[in-house]
Amino acid sequence: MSAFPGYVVVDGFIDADRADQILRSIHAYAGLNAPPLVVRESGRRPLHYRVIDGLAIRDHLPQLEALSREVNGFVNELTGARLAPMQNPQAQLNVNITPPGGSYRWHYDRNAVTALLYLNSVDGGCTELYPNYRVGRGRTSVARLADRVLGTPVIMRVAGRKVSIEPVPGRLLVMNGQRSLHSVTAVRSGADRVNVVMSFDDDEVAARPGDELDTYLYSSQPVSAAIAQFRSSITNRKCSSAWRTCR
Amino acid sequence: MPRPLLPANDGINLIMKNKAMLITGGTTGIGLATPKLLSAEGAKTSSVLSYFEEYFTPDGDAPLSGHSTGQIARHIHSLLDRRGTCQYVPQQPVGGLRADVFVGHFWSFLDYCRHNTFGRAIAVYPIADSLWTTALLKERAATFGVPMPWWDLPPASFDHRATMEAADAVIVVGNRFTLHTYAPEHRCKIVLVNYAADTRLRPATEGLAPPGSFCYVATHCDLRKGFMDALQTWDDLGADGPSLHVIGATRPPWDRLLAGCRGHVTYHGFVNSKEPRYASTIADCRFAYLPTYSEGQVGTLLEAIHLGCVPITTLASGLPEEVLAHCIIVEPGDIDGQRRAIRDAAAWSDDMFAATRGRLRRVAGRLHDWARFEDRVGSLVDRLAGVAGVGVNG
Repeated sequence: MSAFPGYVVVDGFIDADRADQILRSIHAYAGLNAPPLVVRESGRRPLHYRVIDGLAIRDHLPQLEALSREVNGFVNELTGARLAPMQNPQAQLNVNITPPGGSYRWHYDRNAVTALLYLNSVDGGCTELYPNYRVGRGRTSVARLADRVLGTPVIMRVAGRKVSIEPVPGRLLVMNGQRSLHSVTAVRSGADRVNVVMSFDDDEVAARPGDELDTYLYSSQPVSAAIAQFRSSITNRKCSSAWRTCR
Repeated sequence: MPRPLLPANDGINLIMKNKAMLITGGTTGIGLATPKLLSAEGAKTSSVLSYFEEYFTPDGDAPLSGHSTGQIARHIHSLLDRRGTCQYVPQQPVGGLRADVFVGHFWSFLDYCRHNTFGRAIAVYPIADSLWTTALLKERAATFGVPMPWWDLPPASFDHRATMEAADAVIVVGNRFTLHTYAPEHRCKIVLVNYAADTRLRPATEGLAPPGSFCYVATHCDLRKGFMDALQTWDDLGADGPSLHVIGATRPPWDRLLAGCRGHVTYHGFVNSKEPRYASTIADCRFAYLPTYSEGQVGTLLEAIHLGCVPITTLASGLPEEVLAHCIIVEPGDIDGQRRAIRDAAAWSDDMFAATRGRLRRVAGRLHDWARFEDRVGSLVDRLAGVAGVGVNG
């Protein structure tokens, strides 16, 4: 993991036919079940998307679990770490569906490494990230203050190096999401943007199901002001050893 | 009026063209394509329902209307009828039909789709995956040296995979176990539903049946329903052990095997659920024992819960997890485990039984409700017909 540069983009991780096949399954499921629409205010780039969580995937889209295993092997090879799907079954494997006008707020992940597999091309909907941008671990009040300062647009422009990745079918983005500030720009028009989100973490990191963060990310229910206003970092969870190696 | 089947080529070509058009045309975002036949928003939905006439007819009392198949058909017809015009057609396929939505029992679903013009098509599978079930039962039949229950399986001409492919949505009556019997690639279009017992059954009483009283209830007491497990389990419980009341038809060799069972078994034969003694025999038992191998969702257990029994059954029963949490779960084929479960249940105190039954009735009453069934299936129909928000763009 020491040689891992913060993010890697792999084009053609799966071929177009397979991407299309997966997309069709997601179409079928979403058309019948209308996954929850999550809208959370967050400045100019709010959280506005639909999500199929890991529990629904386990029952209705099990082929994505096979895909996640393939990506897991690739990620471990890439990073040299022994990572596994996050133990939280709701969060470890998701499908994000961002409608036209929708976006995903700036955030860090609660897990060490995140892989995004894009299934279609749309106008807008780019993943923007600042690789290895975070200072500290986000656990202490000082680190949280640093997250907030680094998360302001001016500081981001001055201190960061922004990378923008367009969604292309079959393209895989692997990033150390716990250290790289990232978001999704607004989808401008046309089709919904669809991608698979695979969250990997150190084997030793314990599951924390029922976290309020899960309510925030996977439902339209209200959450406490504290989590809703937590602007620059979605979580302050303890970093895994895999991440410490990565630094 | 429905016409007899069109020559195969005419119908298939026409519909395949239409299907291709549905798949490729007019998709916005991830939402479903807008089929050409569907009603505009706010308009009524025209529909066709195909089921078995022995179980359901819209204007009469079909002979087997009390069975789960008949109940399901009646409620689907009712919810479709409220949405516009619903034409009811028999299992034997007819051609020349046009409708926004077709809902059909899976046996003849494919033929209907091939020979008619429907905007959307929903297959109803009140069973576990038929290929999974067939493979399982073949293996079990060979092990036990009993015949396959062919009467219980789809006709040989039935093409399960093609049916799943042709359906826009598949209603499966059952639980997550039932869902997982289906091939992974088909599960994205499956919608799980629960149904309910026949509300015409007499209401449950608060009285307590004698301790150590069990019933085994099935239309056919056979391999799929775990009858071999039941016989083997009871064989070693002894003539003075817990009593088992068996209701259901038995064909050879099951009649002979039943006669040879050394346990305390009373056989009542097949009893139509409309007969009062059907309900009274079940209500006179504390536990409904059905170690089934494969189901959609067992109607007789829903009836037994309604009549005051606590089920002893398998995950394959298709009862939802919340209901199973208050039942006694056994493994199919685990005779020792089933025997232990029977002995334990026979030793339950009155208080324990009454408390468990109370919890079970509350949960089952909430989940197994026809209004809930109609809401769930109705919203699926609306979504497919484009009346409700479609896909994820809404």
